[in-house]
Amino acid sequence: MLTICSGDCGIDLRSTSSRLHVVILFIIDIQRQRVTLLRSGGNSLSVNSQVQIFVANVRNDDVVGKTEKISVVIATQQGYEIDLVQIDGVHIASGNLTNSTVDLVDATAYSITKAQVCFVTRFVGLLPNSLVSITFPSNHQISDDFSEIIFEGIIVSKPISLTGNTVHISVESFTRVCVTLKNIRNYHAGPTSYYQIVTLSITRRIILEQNCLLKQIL
Amino acid sequence: MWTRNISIEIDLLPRVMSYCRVVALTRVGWSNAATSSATQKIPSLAEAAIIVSSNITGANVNALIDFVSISGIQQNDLISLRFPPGFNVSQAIAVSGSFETRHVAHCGTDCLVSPEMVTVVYVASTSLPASTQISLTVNGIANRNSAGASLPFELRLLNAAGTFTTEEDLEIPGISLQAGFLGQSSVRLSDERTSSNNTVGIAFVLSNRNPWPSRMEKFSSKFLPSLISVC
Repeated sequence: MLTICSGDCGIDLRSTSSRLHVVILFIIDIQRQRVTLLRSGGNSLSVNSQVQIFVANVRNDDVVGKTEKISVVIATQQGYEIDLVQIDGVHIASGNLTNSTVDLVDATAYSITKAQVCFVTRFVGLLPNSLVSITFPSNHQISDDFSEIIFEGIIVSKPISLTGNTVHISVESFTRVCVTLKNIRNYHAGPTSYYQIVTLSITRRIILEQNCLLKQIL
Repeated sequence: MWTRNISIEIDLLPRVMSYCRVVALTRVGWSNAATSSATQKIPSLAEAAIIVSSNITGANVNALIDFVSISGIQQNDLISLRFPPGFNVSQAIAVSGSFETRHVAHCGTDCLVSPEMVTVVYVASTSLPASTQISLTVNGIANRNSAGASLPFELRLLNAAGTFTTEEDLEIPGISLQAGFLGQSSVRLSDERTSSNNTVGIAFVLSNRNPWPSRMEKFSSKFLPSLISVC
């Protein structure tokens, strides 16, 4: 999970005590999720000072939800702790799939047709062994015959499965994904409700990314 | 002519080699002589213990001092306390009725004064007999600012002038200090979405005990797994 710093890592520290203190900090160590900064001068910050530190280029987790607690420690150069705090985890929101479309080859009511579902992943992409979950509106019927599913630009690692109106597809990583499903039947004429595309972690069943809102089919 | 044992008590400075020469002197002159030598040892205090009221870094604490003197304490005798390095005793004050703080450090035999020393005078008019359990409390001690095990405490009983040590314990167990707590802390992401690169803003308030020293101190921020990587 760790990406080693390949360039300058932005560090900024501001104290909102009675006067502004500018403190220079250097990253001296990155071990897994722990970054250690070293002060190299400036004034001593008095007790009860408010301090803000900004660390740039921190990459969020791949999965949605609350992170574990975050530990902040002030220590001596020899590593002896002075003060510390455990901060509640932050919430990671889902990334947005972009350019998502659903096209029915035959939009006539009650016809059995193919549906092409396309989207572009964002930061997460499609991780190895992740899932793509496509939920069709309730007025669609999905056959369990998926023999003619076509993937564009992706490598299929496992056959798909069906749960109600949701198709699960295991794929390996890529950025643009198009899937063509056959034997989709739309019972009614007129606008459909929304289609939903979600990428999931196959091990944790946690959302990675999802489309904001997919177009309606007339 | 007969032989007998004779004991002579002599006040000598401890840890100094003393020589004794015995010679028989008769009316007809000197007889054979014998010499001997010995090094005086400082007696050890019994059951000495120092307990501080908190083990949090930088905390303002009271120190409870207990010991048993094997020779007793006379009026104006001194008790010299040495706290481990990093403790601040500049505001120390003895609160027990028979003891008063003296703001001039005394150290006694073979001892160098250090900033962590507190001298207390026994001011009561009545002497404390030998083997008396003695307790006193010293307030206004500030713990060391960094966590970890401290070196031992040192306790010495000195004569009234503070020139030599009568009893001592230089290995009273120290304490294990624990880190204090930063306050009003929060973490904010510039972009909360999965896997995005962002700037993490960490805000906190320094404790009311420990300043953030100006030089060569670390700020260590540990992002536990699931906030993932710093790149």
